[in-house]
Amino acid sequence: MNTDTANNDLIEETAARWVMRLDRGDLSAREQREFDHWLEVASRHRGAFIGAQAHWLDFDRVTALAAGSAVPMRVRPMQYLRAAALVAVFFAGVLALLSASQHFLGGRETTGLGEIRRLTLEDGSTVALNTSSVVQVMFDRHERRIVLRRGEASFRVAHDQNRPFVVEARDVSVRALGTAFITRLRPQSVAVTVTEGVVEVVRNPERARAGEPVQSRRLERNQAVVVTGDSNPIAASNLSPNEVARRLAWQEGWLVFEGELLDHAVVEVNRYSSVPVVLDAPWLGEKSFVGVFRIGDTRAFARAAAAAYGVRVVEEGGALHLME
Amino acid sequence: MDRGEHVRWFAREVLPHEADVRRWLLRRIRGLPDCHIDEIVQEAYARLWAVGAERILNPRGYFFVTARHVVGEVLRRSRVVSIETMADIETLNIIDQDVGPERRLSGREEIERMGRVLTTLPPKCREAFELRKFEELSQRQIAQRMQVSESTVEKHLVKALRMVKQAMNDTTTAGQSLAGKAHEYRHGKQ
Repeated sequence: MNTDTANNDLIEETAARWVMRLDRGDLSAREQREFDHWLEVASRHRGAFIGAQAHWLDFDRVTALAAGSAVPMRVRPMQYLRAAALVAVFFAGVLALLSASQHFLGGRETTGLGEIRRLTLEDGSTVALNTSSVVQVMFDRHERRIVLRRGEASFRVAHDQNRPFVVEARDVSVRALGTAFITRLRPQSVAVTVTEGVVEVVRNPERARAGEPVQSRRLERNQAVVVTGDSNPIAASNLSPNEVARRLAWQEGWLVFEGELLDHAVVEVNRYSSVPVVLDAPWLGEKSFVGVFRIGDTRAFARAAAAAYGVRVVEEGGALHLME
Repeated sequence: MDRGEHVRWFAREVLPHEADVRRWLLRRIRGLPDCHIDEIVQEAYARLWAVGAERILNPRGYFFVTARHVVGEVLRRSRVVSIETMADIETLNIIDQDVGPERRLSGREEIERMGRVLTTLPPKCREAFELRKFEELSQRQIAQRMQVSESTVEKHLVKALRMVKQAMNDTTTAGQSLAGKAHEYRHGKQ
């Protein structure tokens, strides 16, 4: 047994010992000091302990299955947890901003290339502004109005029955009372994804105000629409919770691809970077791609795509070319 | 989220991917010793824990990404890794099949696996584990039942924990038994 193996064995053993010691009951003051010290010495000690403790807990699920109570313990708590996580993210964001400064918005807010910013509005609603985006905030006594001029933003709306929250993006308006959703301006369309609650999407709100008939569509949680410039009816699609989480991942600084065409993945990655990825071999665009990347790490993306499909990355003229 | 909830979250959302991360490391880095895979998983767990459940929207993806980040650090520290392996790490990326569909064991397989490893434990050790996990007795009650000291019970359980944990993470048997009928284990997270 070499020293690495012996050392590793000792760490696994010690981690298991602490898990079982804690399973027995409270630690004495001396044991607590010893335990704290052991955890402090190396990060892998902490990881070994967490892994061992989580496994010990997870055995309960298997033994429960074995005992005949065939309870699928995973499905429901997981979905519940996702919702809880969203709310938690929201509160964390608000607190951070409130403590940083009393951030009251008036007017125009922008983000630069690769920048992601979270803002708290005067009513307590929050806005996460994705890369290269512009919003204009126009609140008055009757309406909380926000105009998305460019890019993408997600909104978590504070409840206020008397002042509807309306996001306008080109010829589309999205109206909400207390809910969360994302609006994205694309070159030829406006995309809206609802993560919580209900919103109403209206095309040509100006005409609606003039009393003319307009198209509108109610959207519920985990639904999305893409409104195009033509007069086709607004069609909603249902999204899995996983897909919704994926669409929100940019707020956490991640880009997540789960089988999108590489063409689309490249468009996403290039939104955040001044060094674009270019597919020189057109067939590459048709491949589906899976990967998780830190936003802005365009080179990692290019290398991963190259490795996946056996092509080369050539950096030339301020761009990363994928070629055969 | 308190500590107990955090551990439960960890068990539910992160642990199920451990075998896949181990399998990915084994496949992608030639000659990687088991102790280094353990170390990479430990380091990754320490980081995932520190980040907190609230901030991790995609635990599977996050786990893979974190493991990739720590591979280089862990292997640079170690002395037994060849230059060839170091070159491999530079091109180590998470692609398609890696993060892809989960190969989670079915409940029946998990039960079988646990059952198999329990038969390999020394009888006293197995008895302590079964009393704790199936009968849900406390360690003190087990000590009384088995007429041994509490610290002996603890030692039995430490051994059982390690053996069962290892069996549940076993990459080789999982890979072999899953390869032939992968379609049965594809869980979308719908």
